[in-house]
Amino acid sequence: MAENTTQESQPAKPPKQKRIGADMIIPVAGLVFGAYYLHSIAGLPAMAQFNGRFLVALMVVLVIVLAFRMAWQLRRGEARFSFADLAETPQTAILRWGVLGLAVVFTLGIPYAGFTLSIFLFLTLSMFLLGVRPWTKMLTITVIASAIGYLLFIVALGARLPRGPVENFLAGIFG
Amino acid sequence: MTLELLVEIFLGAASYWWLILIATTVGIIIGAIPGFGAQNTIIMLLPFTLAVPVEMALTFMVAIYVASHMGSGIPAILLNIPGTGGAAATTIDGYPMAQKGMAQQALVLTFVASTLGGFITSFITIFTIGYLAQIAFYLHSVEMVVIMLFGITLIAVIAAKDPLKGLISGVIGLLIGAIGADHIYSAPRATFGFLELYEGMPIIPALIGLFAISEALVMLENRSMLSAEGRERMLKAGWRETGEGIRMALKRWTHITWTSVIGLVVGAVPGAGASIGAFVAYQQSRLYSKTPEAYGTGHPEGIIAPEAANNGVASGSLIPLLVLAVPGGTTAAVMLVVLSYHGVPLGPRLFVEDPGLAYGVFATMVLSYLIMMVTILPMSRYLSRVTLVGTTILAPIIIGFTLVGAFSPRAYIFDMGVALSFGVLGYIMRKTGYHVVAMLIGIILGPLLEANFMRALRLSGGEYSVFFGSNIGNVLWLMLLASILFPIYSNWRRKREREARG
Repeated sequence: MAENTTQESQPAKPPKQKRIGADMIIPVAGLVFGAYYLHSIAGLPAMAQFNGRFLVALMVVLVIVLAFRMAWQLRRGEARFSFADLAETPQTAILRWGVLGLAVVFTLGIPYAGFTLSIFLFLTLSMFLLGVRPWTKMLTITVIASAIGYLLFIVALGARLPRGPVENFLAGIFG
Repeated sequence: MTLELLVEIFLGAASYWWLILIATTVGIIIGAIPGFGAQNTIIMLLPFTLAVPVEMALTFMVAIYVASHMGSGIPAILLNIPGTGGAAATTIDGYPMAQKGMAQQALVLTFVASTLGGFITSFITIFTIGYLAQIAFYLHSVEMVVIMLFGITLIAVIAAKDPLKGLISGVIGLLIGAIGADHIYSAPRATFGFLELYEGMPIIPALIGLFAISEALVMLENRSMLSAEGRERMLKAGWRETGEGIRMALKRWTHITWTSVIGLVVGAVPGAGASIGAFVAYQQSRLYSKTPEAYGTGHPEGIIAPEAANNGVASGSLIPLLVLAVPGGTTAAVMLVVLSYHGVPLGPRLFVEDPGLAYGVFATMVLSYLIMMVTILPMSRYLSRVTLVGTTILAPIIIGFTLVGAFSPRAYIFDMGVALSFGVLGYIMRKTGYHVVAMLIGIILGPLLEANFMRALRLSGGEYSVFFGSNIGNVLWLMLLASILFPIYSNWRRKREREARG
């Protein structure tokens, strides 16, 4: 009851506007991919093109409906054109894209350094970047995680992961 | 099915209880690791399954198979990352429940729904296998095309808050799924010049990128994945929460039963798969619920329905393998190889020549679920603690280990790159309101849709009217149309009611 009274006494807030600029990124990327797909099947017989043409046509129809809906929302003042959904603070951006950059380096380095060393370095550098402290805690976590990874994937499951100096060294000891 | 045979098959399966215990433990672990599906583990352990007697090999494979279905729900709840496509629907309510600090209850709901659902459907299958096998005879390529489109529509409408965006994600997914060599002419399509894409878009790296990597990137915005209240609740959690989860699940035993039967029926359709089964069950559960608005916010029935169905599919997908010698999925295909190696006569002959082996599969399933119920339930208390780990530790571990999972199936570094690319795509999708589930299911169904499309067209001599020439197909088209129009109508009606209330 008290809650209701409080709500009634407050002035009515204007309806919140949706931000719809960033909503077009995925459809536009889809249309570009659709155009590329059609280009890649251009030389095939008609029957082989049917599935691709059908899906691209369906996507075009759906994107047109979305575009109309966005235009309608902008016209009625229910939405505004903005890319703020993707905005982030510089600090968050550095952390997020820094970790992603390290993941790219991890991917490129794993054939040379092997699974265990690569995962250890990736985890250590990522956690360092993300501010996991103290060092001892961070290193304990990364060493244990790498060891579990080695035991689970390579020893127990026998997965075909790239072997490097650590795997070769351990294979030399344990056979 | 005589009582004597029933007793014989259960005693036969029970004699391998130790093997079931080992296999279910391995199965739960590999099911919980995105990228390490049951099929990969069975392939890795082929030397074992080929060397031991066929009964033992079959028991081992079946137990791993059912346990991996259950294990795939664990990361779906704790980290918003489904272990397999079949657990994608579990993320919709499982993860929000975990974020409220109720991960333990959510896990228990998953375990009870999975084991009970799997138990019930395995038992039903023993007595109805002959009838269920007939489903496959009524569904031809035309009906399969409509089922695929119906499935993607359902998922888009259910999973996404905005059905239009969900449909766009799904159609883009279907187009990505159509990358690779053409089914008839073997001409590469949209491969960007990469030979690694010639066989099509690899599903595991796509799953890992869309779910695991994008989730890890989003996760970094907060120090903890739990809300402040959720963290407090999680810190106080004990055995009482396990009991609460069991009570929540058992109270809904009828719900578990009928949603698992949906999974069983969908699973009996070759190629339909766990992802469609889980989503159809979720949609039906929400449709008949008294509180449909609670779905998507951590509703117990939103976890029970897809999990029970996911395990129902596990029983159903073995039916085409045993009765028709048509594998219903990838794992079943690997099993087919092992059984053929052992000289097992698959198809109707199997039920005449070796009924003990044929029905024994489902008896093994029943026992696997019983054993898992005992072993996994106490673990929920400890597993749920994962949600207390800070995101600065969790995110790198998720990215590092799931990238390895992307590499593992084909041993291509390229697949790790695919996972990273899908990770960035998934991140943008999450930030702009496009649901990643719809895209993933599109990628899974894309090749199947195309194969059935082409088959239907070739059989009809290029007549496009073939897609409207079957009664079952036309009913499915109407259902598809209704699944699009019904939410639009409901939204419109709600809006009118709101406006009328002022």
